[in-house]
Amino acid sequence: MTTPESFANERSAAIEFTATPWGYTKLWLVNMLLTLATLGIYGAWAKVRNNQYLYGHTSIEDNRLQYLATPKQILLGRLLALGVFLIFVGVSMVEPIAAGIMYLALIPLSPWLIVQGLKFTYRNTAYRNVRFDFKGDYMGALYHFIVLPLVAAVTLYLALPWVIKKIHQFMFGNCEYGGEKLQLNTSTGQYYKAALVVFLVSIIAFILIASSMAGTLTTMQGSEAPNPLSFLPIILVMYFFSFLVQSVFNAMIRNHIAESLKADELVRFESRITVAGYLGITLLNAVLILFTLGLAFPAAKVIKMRYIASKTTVFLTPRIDHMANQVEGKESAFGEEAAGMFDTDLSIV
Amino acid sequence: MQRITGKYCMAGRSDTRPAILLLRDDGSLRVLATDFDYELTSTTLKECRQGDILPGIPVELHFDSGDYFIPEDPDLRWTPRSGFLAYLESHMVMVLAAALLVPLSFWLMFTQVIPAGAKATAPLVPQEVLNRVGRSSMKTLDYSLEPSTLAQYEQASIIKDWNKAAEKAGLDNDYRILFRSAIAPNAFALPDGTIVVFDELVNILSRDELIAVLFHEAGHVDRRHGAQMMVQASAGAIVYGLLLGDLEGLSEVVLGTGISLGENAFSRTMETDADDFAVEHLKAAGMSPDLLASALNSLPGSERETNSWREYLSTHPERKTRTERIESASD
Repeated sequence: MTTPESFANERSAAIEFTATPWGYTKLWLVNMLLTLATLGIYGAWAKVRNNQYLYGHTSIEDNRLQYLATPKQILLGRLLALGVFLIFVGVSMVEPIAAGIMYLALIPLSPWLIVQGLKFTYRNTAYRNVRFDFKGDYMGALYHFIVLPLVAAVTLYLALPWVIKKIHQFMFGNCEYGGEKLQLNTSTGQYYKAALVVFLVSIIAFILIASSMAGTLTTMQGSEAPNPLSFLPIILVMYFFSFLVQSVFNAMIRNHIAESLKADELVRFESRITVAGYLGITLLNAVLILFTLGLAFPAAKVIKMRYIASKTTVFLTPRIDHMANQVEGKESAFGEEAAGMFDTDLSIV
Repeated sequence: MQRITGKYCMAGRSDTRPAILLLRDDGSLRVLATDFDYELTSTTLKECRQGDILPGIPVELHFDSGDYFIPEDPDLRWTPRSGFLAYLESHMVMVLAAALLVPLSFWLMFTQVIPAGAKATAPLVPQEVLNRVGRSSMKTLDYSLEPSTLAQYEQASIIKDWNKAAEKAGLDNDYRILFRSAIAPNAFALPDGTIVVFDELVNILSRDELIAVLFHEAGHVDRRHGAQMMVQASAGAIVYGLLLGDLEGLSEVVLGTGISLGENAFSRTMETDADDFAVEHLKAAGMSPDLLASALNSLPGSERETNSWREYLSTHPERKTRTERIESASD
C-alpha cells in the first residue's frame, strides 16, 4: 500500500466521536415514538435531530460537523416521493404491464434522482460553516450507475471491482469543500485484491449454504406446495454471509479510499481499520440487532461509527482556517427521499 | 452578569475566534474576542435565534449578521424553559415508555390496525378495479400455468354441479371456473370472481369434495379478501416508507421478517373466514361440511404432524386446526 504524500505544513487531528450508544438510543427511541404518534409526520424532524446528534458529536480540532437540512425540506421531499411511490404501487396492482413500462421509465430517471440525493446530502453537511457540494452531473451518474453495472454484468462480473472503483471515484471525486475539489486516486489493483479475498470467502459460504440447502430439501420431501418461509434458515445464513463478505470488502477498501482521498494542500486522511476489528464490530452489531428485534439499531450505528472514527486521522493545512462557503442548501429533498422510499439508497461505503 | 467562554464563528466562513460572551440580566449581551479583547458584536438575547438543543452538544446563539457563538459548556441553556425535546429525549420515563411502546405499536399496527383498516375499506374498492386486477392477474398467471388436460365434458359437468350447489346454497353465482394444470393440487380465487382449479386437484378429490373447495374459494371472493390484501399491502408500504425509511442493513431484514409474520397472521384469518363461509354454504346446500375437512385431508402432506411454531411462518393455518374447526361446526 502506498503511503500518501504529506503536505509541507500539515497538522494531524483525530476524529473525536463523542456520541454514546445509549445516548443515541434514547434520542432515537423517543423520536420514533413521536413519529408513530404523529402518523409519520414527525419523521422528518426525527431524521434531522438524529443526524444533528450524530454529526454534532463528530468533531475535528474541536469543530463539530453540522447537519443543516431542515425538517420542512425533508417532509416536502418525503410527501412527494410517497405520492410517486403510491402511484407505482397502485398501478402495479391494477395493470402489471403498465407498471412494467413505468419501471422502465424509472431507469433514465434514476441517475437524476441519485445526483439530486447526493447533492442534498453533501450540501447539508458542513464543517466550520462551509458546506460540502456534489459536482457530479446527470451523464456522469448515468455512466456510473447504469452503464458500468451493465458492463460488469456483461463481463460476468470480472469487471466489477473496477466498476466499484469508478463509482467510488464518481461519488468522492465530485465532492467539493469551499470550492476545493477532492480527488480520489484509488488503484484498481487494491479493488481486485479485496475482490479476490471476497471470492475465497464466498466459496466457503457457498459450500456451507449448499449443504444446508440439501438438508432442508430432504425434510420438505412429500409435503405440499413448498412454503417460501421454510427457506427462512437458508435465507438467514445467506444474509449472514453477505454481511460477512461485505464487511471484509469494506474493511479492505475503506482504508484504501481514505488514504487516496485528498484536496490539494488542504486535507488528506489516514485510516487504520483492520479486517478483524471491522468484522468483530459487524458481528457484534448483528447479534445485538437480532436479539433486540431491531431495537439496537441506533446503538449499533454508534458503535460502528465510533470504531471507524477512532481509526481515522485527518491531516489539515492552515488553509482550513480561512475557507469560504460556496453553496446554499435550499434544494428539494425529493431525490434523497425517493431513494429511501424505493430502497435504492447508496450504501456502498 | 454572566461570562460565557466559547467560540465566535463567522457566517459562511471557516474562520473562528476564541471569544467571551458577556450576558447581563436584562438580556443585553456583548461578545469579545479573547485574544485582542475587541468587541465582535453586541445585541440583546431577544434579537438572537438559538440553535437546536441536542444532548451533549452546545447550543449555538445566532446573530442577525449570520455569525454565531458556540459556548464551551454543552449544558448551557440561553432561556430557562428551552429544550422540551431534549428533555423528552433524555428523560428516563419517556425513554422506557418508548422502548415498550415502539415495538408494541409496530406490532399492533401490522397485526391489528392495518388488517382492521383493510377489512373496513375493502368494500369501498370499486368492483371495476377488482375486475381489472382479476383480469390482469390471470393474464400474468397464465404465463406460468399449463392449459388443462381435462376433457371438455368433465369440465362442463363440474361447472354444472357447482352451479346446482351454489344455487341451492342461495349464493349469488357470478363465479367463473377455469381449469389449468400445474405441479401441485391447488385452487385459488381472484378478486373478480374467477376461481382457478388445477387438474391435479380435480384428480385426487371426489366431486363433492371439489364443490366444498369451490365454496371455500368463493368465500375469498365474497368476503373481498383480494381487496383487503391490496389495501393492506399499500398501507403497509406507506407505513414502512414513512416510519422505517431510514433503517438499513440487518435491521431492515429483521423488521421485514416481523412484518411478513404479521401479514401471514392476517392471511391465516382470511383462510379461517373462507372455511367458515364454505361450512355455512355447504350446510345450506344440503351437503356435509365434513367434505371440506376430508378435501383438506386428501391433500398431500396430511400425515405430517402438527408443529405449532410452524404455523407462524405459514400463510395458512395448520390443517389440524382447520379440520377440527370445520368438524366442530358440522355437529
